[in-house]
Amino acid sequence: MSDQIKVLHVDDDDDIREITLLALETVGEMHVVQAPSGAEALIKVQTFRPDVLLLDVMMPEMSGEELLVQLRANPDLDNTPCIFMTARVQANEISGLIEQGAIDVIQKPFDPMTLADQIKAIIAP
Amino acid sequence: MGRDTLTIAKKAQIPPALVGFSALLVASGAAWAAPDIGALSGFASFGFGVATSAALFAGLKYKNRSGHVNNASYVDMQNRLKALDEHAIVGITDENARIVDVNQRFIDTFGYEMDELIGNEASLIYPEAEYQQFAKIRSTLALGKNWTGEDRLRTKSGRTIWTQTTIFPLLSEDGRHVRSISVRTDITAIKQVQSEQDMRSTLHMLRDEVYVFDAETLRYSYMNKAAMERLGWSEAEYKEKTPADSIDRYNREKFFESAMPLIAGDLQQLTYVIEVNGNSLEMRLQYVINKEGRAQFVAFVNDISKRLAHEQAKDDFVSTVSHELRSPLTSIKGGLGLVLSGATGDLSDKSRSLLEIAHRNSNRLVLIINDILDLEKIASGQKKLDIAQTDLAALVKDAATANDAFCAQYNVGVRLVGADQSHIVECDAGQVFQILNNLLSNAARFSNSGDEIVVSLATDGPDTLISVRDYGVGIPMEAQATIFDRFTQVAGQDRKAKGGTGLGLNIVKVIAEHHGGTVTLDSVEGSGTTFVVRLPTRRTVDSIPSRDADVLDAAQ
Repeated sequence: MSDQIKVLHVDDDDDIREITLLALETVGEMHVVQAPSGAEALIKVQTFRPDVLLLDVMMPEMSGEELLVQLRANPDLDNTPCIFMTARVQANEISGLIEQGAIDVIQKPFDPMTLADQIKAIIAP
Repeated sequence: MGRDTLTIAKKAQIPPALVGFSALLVASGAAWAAPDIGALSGFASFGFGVATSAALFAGLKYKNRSGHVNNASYVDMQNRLKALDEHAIVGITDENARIVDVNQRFIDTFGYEMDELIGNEASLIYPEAEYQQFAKIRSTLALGKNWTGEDRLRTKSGRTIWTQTTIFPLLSEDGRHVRSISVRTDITAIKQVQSEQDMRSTLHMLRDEVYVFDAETLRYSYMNKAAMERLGWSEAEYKEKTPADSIDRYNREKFFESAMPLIAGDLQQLTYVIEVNGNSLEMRLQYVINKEGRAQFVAFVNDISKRLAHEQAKDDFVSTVSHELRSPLTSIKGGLGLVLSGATGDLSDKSRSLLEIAHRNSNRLVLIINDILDLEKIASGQKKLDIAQTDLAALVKDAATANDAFCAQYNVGVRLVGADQSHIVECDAGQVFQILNNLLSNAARFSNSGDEIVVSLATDGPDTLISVRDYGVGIPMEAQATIFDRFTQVAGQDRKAKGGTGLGLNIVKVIAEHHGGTVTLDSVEGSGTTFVVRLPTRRTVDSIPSRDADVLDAAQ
């Protein structure tokens, strides 16, 4: 469907990817493309243009923040809203992430039943 | 008439030769050769007893150390004694330690007038702390022995001086102690140098680097061993240098600007951190004016790179643990939540029941992990208090709103009292919000359906009180003593159903105490519970800033 929200989800944890996929596609009726690492995500965006970026922060090799910088270099993505998903909950860390260009932060663990609604609320104009 | 040694010796009927010769020995530093003086004075005492004083006066004979008797001219002796007068402080006392006579140097040194001295006990030049010394000297003299040593004495104006002293007793023919002669050399200057050297050797042993530099020229007057080692300068080299020689792009004007509060006396110490060659150095700077009126800066420098690295590591640890625990929980909670929602198909009742147990407990784990990490941060000081003027009335309203949904689950409402006017309190808003959160969620869980929770704000002297009252089941007496401890919850079959992590109240207590406040409770089983958090409305004055970013820039 053309009005389905397209999500690029990046997380190195296989299980979290599976849960998130169910939460967003089955519950939230979104179209989700996933990648297990920053490197693979950069390949995926060559053929997929998401409406929203959902990025894990703590990943080996390339962190969520580093990945965002690289994604932003792509002219198609320099305005795409980005949401970080993280287990980090300290206030200064959260504000740090927002300063990096995210519009919001969703904390882990999240509720799979409400994740899609949370994302919709965040990106709503 | 001058108080010269010759005159007083005559007056006191003591052979001037005796006085003069001992003074000579003392003055020339032969005071260290105590046995010689002892021999001399012993001999002299004997001589005084045996020979007549007149004979000695007339002959102006004196014995030198080897016992030879020489004739000397009167003029010679006069000259010698005049010279000695310039140097030695001479005093004569009677057998009761009362001052009989003193020379001019004594008067000049101690600042007393003659009439303030004569007839008074010689103890008046000893500070109270030295009275024991004075008593020791007296008893030594009474035994007919002389006394040699260093004295710490006090002038009329209260200034401390040090003297190298020899006092010897004079006995009468029948062996009675009748007079004492004290001959002193002022060694205050030497002593000061010595104590300075002692201090330097102590400072040299410090791991901290110590720098002392002139307040105007900024030239170093002292650097301890640690400082010299870091900068690679010898003592001769550092005396020519200033901080500009060791810090890149050092800005003099900026330094003086930042140091102004020290010079003006508004601040006692300035603490800041500078980066030098990749190391973080903590500087503590003070401004001192010594007794001679010389103004200097004293800086203690401590390499805190390791400490910062350690704190960073701890920070990373908390982040890592947080991540490692929360990631699997995300999958557990997520997986269970999805199955229970029916999104993956129908469930049998039994399956549903068991999955609900698993889901509930995974939620509980999440809360416990949150609380533990909070406690760890608070306890390790990482959660530093972010103090600001906070309107508690607004904060309380926010907390009530944030807990709306939670309270609705228990069919409990929240009523605010005293929140119509603002209550400004100097506190960490985030942490106080957490207090309110924890107390509200407890109140809701332990209330009966349909009850209300009352949150009130009040002032009590210098403190502000926040009360959270519920009309629920209350806390039994035996549980009240330990209710603020970690992982302690009210026992009973209700416990698990009520939920909670067992840490909420401990967190409330820790936060309250970090603010310098308290939390207390009042509870009656069956009637309900009131928790009262008392916070000081204003923080105690802490006007000393701990960082000065401008100086940081100056040193970059």
